Amino acid sequence: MTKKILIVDDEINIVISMEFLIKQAGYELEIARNGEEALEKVAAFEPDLILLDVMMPKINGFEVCRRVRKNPDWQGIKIIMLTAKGREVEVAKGLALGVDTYIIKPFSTKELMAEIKHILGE
Amino acid sequence: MDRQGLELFLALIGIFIFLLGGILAWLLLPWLSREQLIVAVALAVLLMGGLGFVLSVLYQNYVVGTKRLAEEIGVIMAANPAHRVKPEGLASIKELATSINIFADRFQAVLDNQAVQIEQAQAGMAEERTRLAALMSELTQGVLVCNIEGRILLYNNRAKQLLGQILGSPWADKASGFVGLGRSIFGLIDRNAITHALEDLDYRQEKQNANLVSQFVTTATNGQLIRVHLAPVLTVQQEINGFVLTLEDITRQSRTSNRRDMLLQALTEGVRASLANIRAAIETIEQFPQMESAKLNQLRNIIHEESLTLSSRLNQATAEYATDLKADWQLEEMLDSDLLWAVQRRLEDKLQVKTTVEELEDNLWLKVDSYSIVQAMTYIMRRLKTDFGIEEVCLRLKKSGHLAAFDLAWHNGMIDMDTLWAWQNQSLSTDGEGSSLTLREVA
Repeated sequence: MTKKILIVDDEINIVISMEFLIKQAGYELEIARNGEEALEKVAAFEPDLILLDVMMPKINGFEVCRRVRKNPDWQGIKIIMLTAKGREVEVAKGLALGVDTYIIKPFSTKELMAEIKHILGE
Repeated sequence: MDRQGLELFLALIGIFIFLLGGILAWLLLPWLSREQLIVAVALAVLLMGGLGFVLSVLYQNYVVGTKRLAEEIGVIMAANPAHRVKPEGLASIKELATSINIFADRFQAVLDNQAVQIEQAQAGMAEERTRLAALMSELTQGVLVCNIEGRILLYNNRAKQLLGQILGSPWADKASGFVGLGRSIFGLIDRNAITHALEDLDYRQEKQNANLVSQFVTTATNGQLIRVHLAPVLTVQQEINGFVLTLEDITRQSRTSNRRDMLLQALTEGVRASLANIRAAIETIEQFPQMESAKLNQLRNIIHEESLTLSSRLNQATAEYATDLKADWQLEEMLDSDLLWAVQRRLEDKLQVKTTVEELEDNLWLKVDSYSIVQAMTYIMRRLKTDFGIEEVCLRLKKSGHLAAFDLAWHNGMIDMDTLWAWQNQSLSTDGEGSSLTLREVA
């Protein structure tokens, strides 16, 4: 069964590259441009993994993560946080909220794809 | 025994001898003739008179004389060191009086010497106090010296000014909350903060830590931040018996520091985001070189667009940083001739150009950042030399309203205004030195 990934980022330029790479890798993909849309798509799309940015309009990535982790139906969803926020306190906050992997931008796309495969148990 | 007691004692002895003589005469009466008795009584009276005279002379000279000497020594010691004993009486008493006078001379010399030394020490102390007061009044920091109970012993005007701002803070007792000699510091600064700092110093002293200064930050009612340094005043036994508080207004410093932190944070995050977009696009192209041309173009556009965003972010950060630097610009007072000399020396040493200085009218005091001015003039001269081959300039500084105009004049070489405008916005930093400011910002 094809694994499903949701990209949540308001930066269109990173989304374009990520979308291409993830589709090439054979995953089913959805994109959300802000936190609010992300929560709607989590409910509708039921992804296996969320690639989540932090700095977004309306609801930020930390809050999205908190709400996902709070919902018992979504406990199995893996979350990789992709963000330019690299201070220790921010990394610690992300991990405390239940993020599986915290990746600071800029990152290697090859390493990211390897991490996606690893986290999805492939 | 005092004089009266002694006289009474002698009188009693006299009466006793007189009675003894009477009894002796009455007992001898049957054996002596009338003439013999008269002679015996006359001899007895004469003997008693002689004895009384001798005793009186001895008493006057030795007892009364030495008592007088003792009283006069007391006067010299306690009341009047210039007083001298009059040598009179028997030779031994006179000798004693002379010795006492010699001793009194030496005693007076010692006292005079002591008085001179005390006067000199007091003058020295007064001078030190004046110097300390002058020094304290010149300090940009507030200084308060307190005893261990927190009573203010010394302070400067800056301290008064800074602590005036703390008035009304939650711990300040408004009734006693002003700076004055003998007032309590705890009416102005939180007692707990000072106690904690003193405990900290005690601990450090126990651990023989050489750095015996503790610090804390307190807030003024108008929101200003005051950094307080507390240093102990130690006794000879190295015990704390007071403390010196140094107060510094760090509001501006803190605000600038916060602003720079935010600027750096925003720049870091912005650059990371743009670099991530560029890197992802490049790596995607590398991994799939045969992708559709439309997708390839889209990724190329991302790289181009993000490169521009990155440049823009860096320019914006540089501009904001320069504005920030200007906000903290420290200007110094300087004579025009000194500034001209500094620029002239720099141009000749650094760029090997020939310079002349136009004669100055009057001494003109300027308020400038001389370092930035020298940097700016060096930058202009370097451009003139490299871009237009100008090797000789004339420097001129003159008053222009409430400002001063610094002219750099040369012959044989016209430069269009567009070139000059372009120079204005470029960084003065060259060869790894100079500031990140532009000519426009310095001007």
